[in-house]
Formats: sequence, C-alpha cells, structure tokens
Amino acid sequence: MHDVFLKNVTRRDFLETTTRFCCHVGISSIVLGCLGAGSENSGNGSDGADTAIADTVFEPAYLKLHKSGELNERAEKLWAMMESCRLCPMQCGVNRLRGRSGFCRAPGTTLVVSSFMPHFGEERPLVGRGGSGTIFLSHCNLRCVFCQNWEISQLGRGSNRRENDLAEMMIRLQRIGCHNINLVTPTHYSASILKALDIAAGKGLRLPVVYNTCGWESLEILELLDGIVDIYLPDFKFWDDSMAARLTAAEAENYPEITREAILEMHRQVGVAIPAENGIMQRGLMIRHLVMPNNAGGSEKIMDWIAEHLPKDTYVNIMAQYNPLYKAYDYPEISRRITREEYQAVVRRAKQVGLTNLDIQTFWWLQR
Amino acid sequence: MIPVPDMIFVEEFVHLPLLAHPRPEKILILRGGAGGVINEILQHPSIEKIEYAELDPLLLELIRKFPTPLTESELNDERVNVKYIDGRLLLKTTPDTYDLIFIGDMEPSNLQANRFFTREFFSLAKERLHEGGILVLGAPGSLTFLNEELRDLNGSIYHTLESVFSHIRVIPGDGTNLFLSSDSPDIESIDIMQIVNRLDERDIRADVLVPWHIERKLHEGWHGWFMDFLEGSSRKINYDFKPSALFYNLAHWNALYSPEFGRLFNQFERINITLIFLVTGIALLMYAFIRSRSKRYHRAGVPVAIISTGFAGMIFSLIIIFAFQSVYGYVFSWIGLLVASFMAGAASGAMFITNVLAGIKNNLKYFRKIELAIICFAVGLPFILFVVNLYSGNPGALLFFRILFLILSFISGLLVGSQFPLANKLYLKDSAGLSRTAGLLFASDLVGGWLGGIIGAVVLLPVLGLTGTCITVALIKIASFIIIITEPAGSYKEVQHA
Repeated sequence: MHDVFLKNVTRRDFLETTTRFCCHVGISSIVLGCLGAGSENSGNGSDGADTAIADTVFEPAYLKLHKSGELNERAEKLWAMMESCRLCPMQCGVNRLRGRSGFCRAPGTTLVVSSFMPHFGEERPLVGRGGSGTIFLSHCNLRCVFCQNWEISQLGRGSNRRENDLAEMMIRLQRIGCHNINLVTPTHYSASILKALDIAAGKGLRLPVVYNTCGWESLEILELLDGIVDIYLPDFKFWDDSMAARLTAAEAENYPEITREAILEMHRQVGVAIPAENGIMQRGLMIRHLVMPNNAGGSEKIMDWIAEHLPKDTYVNIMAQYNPLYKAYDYPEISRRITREEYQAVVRRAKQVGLTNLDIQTFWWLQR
Repeated sequence: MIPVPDMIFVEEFVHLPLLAHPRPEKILILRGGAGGVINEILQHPSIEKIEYAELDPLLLELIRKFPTPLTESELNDERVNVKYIDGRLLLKTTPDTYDLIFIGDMEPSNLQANRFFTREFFSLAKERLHEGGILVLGAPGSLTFLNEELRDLNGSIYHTLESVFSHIRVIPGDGTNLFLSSDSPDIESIDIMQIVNRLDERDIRADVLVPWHIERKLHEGWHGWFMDFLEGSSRKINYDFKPSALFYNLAHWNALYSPEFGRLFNQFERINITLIFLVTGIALLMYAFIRSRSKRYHRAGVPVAIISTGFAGMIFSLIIIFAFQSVYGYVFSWIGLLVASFMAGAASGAMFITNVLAGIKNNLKYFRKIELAIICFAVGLPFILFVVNLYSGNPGALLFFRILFLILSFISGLLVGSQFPLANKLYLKDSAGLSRTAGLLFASDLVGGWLGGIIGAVVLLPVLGLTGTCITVALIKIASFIIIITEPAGSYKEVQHA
C-alpha cells in the first residue's frame, strides 16, 4: 500500500541510478575541472555546464547543521516539547512522549505515513523531470472541513513508522531522481522529521527539504527550523478570523494572524524563491492560495497583504482547483466550485497590487 | 440551482483524448454528455456527429426544464443526436463506427455501471471504433491515498482493457484516473508538444486545459508512477457475469468508509469453488458422523432441503435480476415483474402439488425428484443466460428474451413452491405437531432465503460470478439430496388427512 514505491528499486532502477550517478560525477568533475582552470585564467565558467550541474553542486541548508551536530540538538529540543506538546499553535499540551494523542491525533511520538513517491502534479519548479519526492504524513492539526486529502488528514490512514524509516524513504526518493523532499503536513511531526533528516544527511541526502504546510505554524518552532528547511511551501488559506474558525476543526480563529507572522518568518529565513538555471527550485518561499467560492478565503486581501509585506516577486500560486470535498457540503458558502469570474478577480487584484511572480494555472480564464 | 460545471475534470476528460486523435469526426458518448462534455467536444472543428445515449429521459427533461446557456447550445446543436437508450444496447445495435467513445460512468459501483467496464463491453467497443479510434473511460484514482483496494480496482480494469486493446495510456489524477485505449500505438507515444500544437491548431479555448496543465497531466513520470502503483495488483479480468471490478470497487468504498467491515469483506475474495466443495463435503461427513451416533437427527433431511431450497430460490431470483440488468441495462421497472413471476411460479407449484397430493402414493420419491430438478436448474441456468448474452445484440431476440426471463423466474418459483407442501406432509408426524412442523419448515425456508440474499448478493455473485454461484447452489443442493436419500427408511411417517 504505502510501500508501493519501495519495491521500485529493481535491477533496472539500480542500473539507471548508477548510470545517472556516474554521469553526474563525470560531468561535474569535468565542469569543476574547467571552472578550476577558468578561475586560474580569467574566472569565466561555461554557462551551459552550470545548468547541467545545478542539481549536484547544491548544498542543502541542513547539511551544515548536520555536520556541526546542531541538527540533532534541534531535533532533541523539538522532541522535548512533546512532553507537553506545543509543536503547533494549538499547544494542546498532551504528553506525547507517553504515547498520548493530542488534538492532531498523532499517536504519541509515532510517525504515521500514508505514502511516499515522486509526485508530478506539484508546482512546476518542484516537479522538473524527476518529480517532487513527496511524503504524505497522516493526521493534521488544522483539519479543514473541505480537505481533499481527508482520508489521510482526518481519518489518519497510513502506517506507523519510526525516524529510521522516514530517513530511508528520503534516501530512496533521492535515489530514484526526485528533485526535493516534499513533506506534506509536517507540523505535528517536526521533531521526528528533524531526527530523520539527521540520519538521512549522514547517509548522503543532499536534496532540499520542502516544508509543505497549512501555514499555521508557531514562531518558536519555525525558529528551530531556521537553517534546515530550504523551501517553505505554506498555504495562506483564510483572511477572516471567523472563516478560519468556521472552516477548520481546530476552530483556528488565530489562523490569519499566526499565518501572517509565520510567512514573514519563513521569508526572513529563505527569501524569495528563485529557481536555479535548470528551472528547479532549491530555496525560497512559495506561497499557495486556494481561491474559494464566495470569497470564503478573503483572497484579495491576502494578495494585498503579500504585496505590502513581502517583495513583489514573491512566488504566489493562485490555485483554482477548489472542489467541495469531505464536509464542504455542510457549509453552503463553500458547497460549489469557483466560477471563472471569481478566479479572474483574484488574479486581477494580484496584478494590480504589483505581484510579479504569479503561478497562474488557468491562463485562459483571464483571457475570456 | 444549476451547479457550476466541473470544468477542470470535464476539460481533461474531453480534450486530452480528442487531442490525442489526429482528426476526430464521429463521437459516441454513453451517459453523462450534457452539462459540459458535449460543449467541449464541439470546440474541435473536425467534429461532424455526436451520438449521445442517456438511459433516463427524466435527466435530460430536467436539464431542458432548467436550462443554462451551455446546456441550451450543446443539446440544440445540429451535430448532436440524443437517444434515450442504454448506452451498451445502442452500441450493440448500431451499425455505425466512431473515432472516440466516451464512457460517462466513472466507476463500476453497481452492476449497471459495471457493464461498461467488462471485457465483453470492451470487445464490443473495439468493434465500433474506427482504425486508430480511442475508448475513453475513467476510474477512481488518487495521487495521495493509495490503498490496496484502489490498486486492485485499477489493476482489474487495466488488465481487462489490456486483454482487448493493444495500447493503453493512463493519465493518473486525484479523483479519477483516465484510461485511453486504442489499437493505435500513437496513443502511447503522443507527447506534450504534439498535444499543445493540436490545441493551437484547433484553437481550443479551454479554461483549465492550457499547455501548463497539459504538461502536468502528461508528465512522462506518470507512466512509471502508475505501473509502480499497479505492481502486485489483481490481474482478474472483469466479465459481465463475473464482476471483479465491482467487487474491488465495493472494497475500495469499504476501505474509505468502513475499514472494519472492509477487512472482513476483503477476505471474501479468497472464496472459491474448491473451498465451497470442501466445506460442503466436510459438513456432510460431520452430519453423517452425528447421525450415526444419535437418532435425534434422523429427520434433518427435510428441513435441510428446505433451507437449501430457500437459499437456491433467492439466488435464482438474484441471478435472473442480475442477468436481466446485464443484458438490458435497466431492471428497476422489471424487478417487480420478475419477482411477481417467481411468486406466481411458487404459488402455482404449491397449488398443483397440494391438489395432487392426495393422489400421490410415495411423497418421498416426488420430493427427491424435485430436489434433482432444482440441481438441474442450477446447472442449466448459466448455459441459458450465456446464450442470451451472446444473442443480446439482436433486437428480435431481445424482445423474446424478456419473456424468457419471466419464464425462468416462473420455473424457479415453481420448483421452490412445489417442494414446500410435500416437505410439510413428509415431516408431519401426527396432527398435534401441525403448527410445529409448519413453523419449523417455514422458518427453514426463510433462513435459507435470508442466507441466499446476503451471501449470494454480497459474496458469491461478485466473487464467483454467475457460473460459480450456480455451481455453489448445485453443490449445496446435492448435499441436501445426499442427506435425504441416505436417511433410513421409515424416517418420515406419512399421516393420512382426516
């Protein structure tokens, strides 16, 4: 089930990976040789070759902390917080170290993983050719009533794993050619994730870590992730307190405020997302906003706020794929899909306020 | 209120296959065409004719009653021809061939829908496709929650398609996986650039399906992804009379909404004829052992026969309803008639036997003969139904087959009904035991019927299929027959009526 892609490492894959590795080593040593020679002469490198090695010369943020041992220290700090759990803004305070489940329903310190695989449907700069190495973590601390992954987030389907398993998944995803490690709904497992990352880094993991979160993150935790996460991929779902309270199981009235602070902190850490020359994203902040019917998310105000508080070239993905799933039909205002006009209005506002780095999936919706 | 069309899905469903075809002209839609699909198809300039089959006229009546500009224009377009007929029946009877055939049912969630996912249907669709034509269908899919049930469901559909078509292109999605099947290899090799060029040439103004989105849907990584997902999946072929895909679809729904029951349900898949044979055999041996030790159970033969006959009767009814729906595509308006026919058979059988009972010398002999007749009926039924399915493309035959279904229903009722009065008479020891005997045997009949209804519909038919279910019935009836013929003479005292 969750292991479908574990079996993936067949003889063919092994040969493929080995070949790819040899190519990479080959190309990079040639290029590095050129660069070395170039710097001796005039400092001119080859543009074409730069693109070819973009993936290999990248050094993920966590590597330094891994080497200095700080990654492990941070993991331990987060781990200790689970004694009276405050890993997420809910701060429900249960003792997860004793196996209790808090609001997020995560069973103590055990990780629950639904699946892991290369994903080809994420943002283009995350997908590239090899896909985004997605790890779907079960349970959630926010639990929106319209969740499209409700089997995982609300029912908690998946299987129990330990940090070693998670590290192994990361290594496998790297081996089959993914461009990053994309942790979906990581908030309530941050301690385990850091531990796994420390193990994986020791085993040769060099991919950037994507922190794919609902945006509702405590500053205290984010500060501990500083220098570990390369790409923050937060949602900014709601502008209105009342909507956030109404449409989440966490009744997170403070969602808008906390998310704003969190996004600013994320930006402080990783800055604007600018892809490498081969088009693959390696570091930066990528904000997602899902346009909801009847402006339930407060889309235009969110665009205003981004434009006002962050650089104009901040990566913003304005998503159109809202579908009334899970319990959405119990909430009349979000019980339908969005219209073309609703989507257009948001993009228009984003452009008006000067945002330039928009990921606008449905270009024609703007033309008609 | 008319819902906002699901353009994201409709555009993928329509445009990706149409763009994969070099020049689509004649299109067939089996269900679900109104409300966006037809409108999107009409955007392709080469379209000459769209045939659209919708079984339920009320659906389109409703759409016409509450029209939107979109439904107005698409249903009134002169290239569109709406027919109120079961899609499969249309496909069987039409002499036309098509460039693309779209199936509007997105999952084999019941027997009616499963008819569009079977090997028989795929073969028929293939015959009705032009050279290079494409069959388009969707099945439940997910990019995030990948359980074994979903894997087996997709595996069964994929392998069934593979048994008919030489080339299949799967486009995985969140909610629905698209399957494009064709005998032309183009479908597998077509790439993003070709599709985008055609999008441009045909000047398609899609809302969602823009080059960016096409690139994402057709990313070369998805093929490997899907094949990895299928690794170790079920390879069971989905047949009309053995609906494996329906079973997996039920399992998938269980996995989502009732995992506890789902775990039990998944075990049903292990059931097979050999197992049933063994269990029946062991039960017989155990009974023989008990009977040799105690005299109390010497008269179990009649109640056992009645339980198994109740079981058989219920399963015959289910099978006839199942086969009717499979052949005609509808059944609800006919369930009443089929059941009434069964009841009429049962009443006639009971009346006939009661009337002639007084003249019958050897009740037990007749009872055994009826047992044998039920066994023969169970063995013969699949043959009759397979022949019916074979000739279901013939309109004349179809007219006759309806009567045949009523007759089959009547006969099964007749067999069940005629055994009951005989059983009562055999089992009755003295007049004082009248109500006890009637009560016991009636209860036996009900228990058998109840078991047949639950086990037949939930386990036997989806797992063993029609033939396997009939064999099961025959095996169980043979067991009851063995019990009754091996009982010591004089077990049943025949009491003369006062």
